[in-house]
Amino acid sequence: MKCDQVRQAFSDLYDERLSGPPLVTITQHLATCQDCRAEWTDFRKAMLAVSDLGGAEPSLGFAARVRQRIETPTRFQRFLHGFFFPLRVKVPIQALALLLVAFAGVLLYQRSPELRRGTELYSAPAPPAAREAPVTRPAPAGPPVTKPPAEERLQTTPSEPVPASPPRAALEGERDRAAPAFREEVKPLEKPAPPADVPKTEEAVRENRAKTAEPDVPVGRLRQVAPPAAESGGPGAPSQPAPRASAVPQAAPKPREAPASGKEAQTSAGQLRSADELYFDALADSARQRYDRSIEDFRAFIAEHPGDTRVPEARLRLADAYVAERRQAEAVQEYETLIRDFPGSPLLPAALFKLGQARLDLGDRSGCQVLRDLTTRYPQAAEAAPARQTLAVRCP
Amino acid sequence: MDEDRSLVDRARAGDTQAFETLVRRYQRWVFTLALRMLGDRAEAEDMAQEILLKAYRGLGRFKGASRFSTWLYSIASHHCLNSLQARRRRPASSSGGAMRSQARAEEDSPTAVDQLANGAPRADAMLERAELARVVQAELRNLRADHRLILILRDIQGLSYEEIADALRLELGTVRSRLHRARMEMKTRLTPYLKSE
Repeated sequence: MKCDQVRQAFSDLYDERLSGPPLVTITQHLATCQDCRAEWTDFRKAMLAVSDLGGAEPSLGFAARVRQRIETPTRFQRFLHGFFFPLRVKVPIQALALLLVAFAGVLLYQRSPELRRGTELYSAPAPPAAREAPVTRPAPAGPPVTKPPAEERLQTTPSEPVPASPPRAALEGERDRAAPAFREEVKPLEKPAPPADVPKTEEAVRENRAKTAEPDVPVGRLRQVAPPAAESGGPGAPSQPAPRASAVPQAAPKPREAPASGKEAQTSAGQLRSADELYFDALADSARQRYDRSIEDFRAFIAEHPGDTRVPEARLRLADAYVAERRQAEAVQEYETLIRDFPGSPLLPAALFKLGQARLDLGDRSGCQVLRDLTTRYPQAAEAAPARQTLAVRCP
Repeated sequence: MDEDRSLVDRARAGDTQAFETLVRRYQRWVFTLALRMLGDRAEAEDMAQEILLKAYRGLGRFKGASRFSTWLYSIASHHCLNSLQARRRRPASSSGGAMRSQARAEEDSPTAVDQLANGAPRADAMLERAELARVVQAELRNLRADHRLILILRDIQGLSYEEIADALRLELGTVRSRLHRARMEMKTRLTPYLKSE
């Protein structure tokens, strides 16, 4: 056996874990090899020195200190204890505090329209039918907008006074239906949110007006007070004077249907959409090819804000929307009104060009004369060139 | 050992007196392990308390499959190793205050050991038994932590190979080879001081 092998076995030899032939072999080697014997002696001395270190006693009272630490609650335990104990005192207080917090939360929610609207907007999407509900495409001969459900509900009792405030459930329903449309309308525009208590859709606006109308005035009296749409219309009034609803629209001022006087627009301005809102809503609807809504909003804008500097452009765009809806006759009226009321407007060449085209579309050959006048009076206008082309093609 | 089991059951039920009895029974063993691992009495007491607190909080996990002593040795061994690893990661300045450093100096006499190691003149007095113990303790601290632990468990605490394997969750062969390496290293370190005896 080599010395290395013997020295590898020192540990086992020291622990007396060797027996039989290995023990005999190692013992014989140690007896003959002086180096290994010296190594073995050093090894044993070292191990004995380590063993001599022995155990050590901790200081007096060690066990008691450990027990004390065990019995001393941790900071977390102290916190828990302080929070919940004594149970008969702390639990009722905490329950009361919880109720108060919950009550405050509900109160805050109810008094914060922004929260409510946020909840409606970001809650689960309404069913597709509800999305489509607010405004339907009007039949060409009939009123431009179908009666909203709220009106239908109120129409069932036309002789009854308008309720001071509509049933809350009805309002909530209207708001729910209005929410998706509101979301579609407002987001892309990125303009400031409307006043919290003014819903965006037509139904919601109408409902709001009904809510804010004089509560105790019977419908009959309101009918007398509110001028019929056809009577109050000026030269630019739409040609379909028939009111779209019989009860609520008369009970509440209806600037979209019947152009209200400036005074009326002012008195109800707090409850109506602002000029900006109406105008931009109309533009957005037009851009999305929702011409029926666009027509409604442009008409409301012109009626409620007749002094606004954007009225000429609104009227031009209103007429364009009519053209897009293939309602050329109404478009012609709007173009004519624009040309008559704003003879100095820079929009005049465009109005003339479109008027000429619309008349031609209706089979009215006077459209050719309008286009000729355009090329004569505004030869440098951008519309002059297309006017000449149209004349060449349609007025040979 | 059945007595241990009974005390454990009582302690688990919230009887701190029973646990104190267990502490008294094993405090010497736990403290010795901590002291030989750290070389400082104050730190060793702190560590021993932590080990016993850990055992108390872990009583619920003691299923009784092994003896309580084996379970406690296992907790103590792993706590020592983890604690030493954590100390190595910490900066040296945070390992203790001035008093503690002084106590350690008195206990370990690292300066004396360094002098001896550097071949400084060895006074005969230093080779007396107490001095030898200090040297051994100092050299023990120079071993790798796992070598130190296994050497302490076997040659100071007197655990069998099997108990060590249980406590450290190692194979017997691993225990044997690791113990041999630790012993040979210790022999190499101590031989210069023991030759002149």
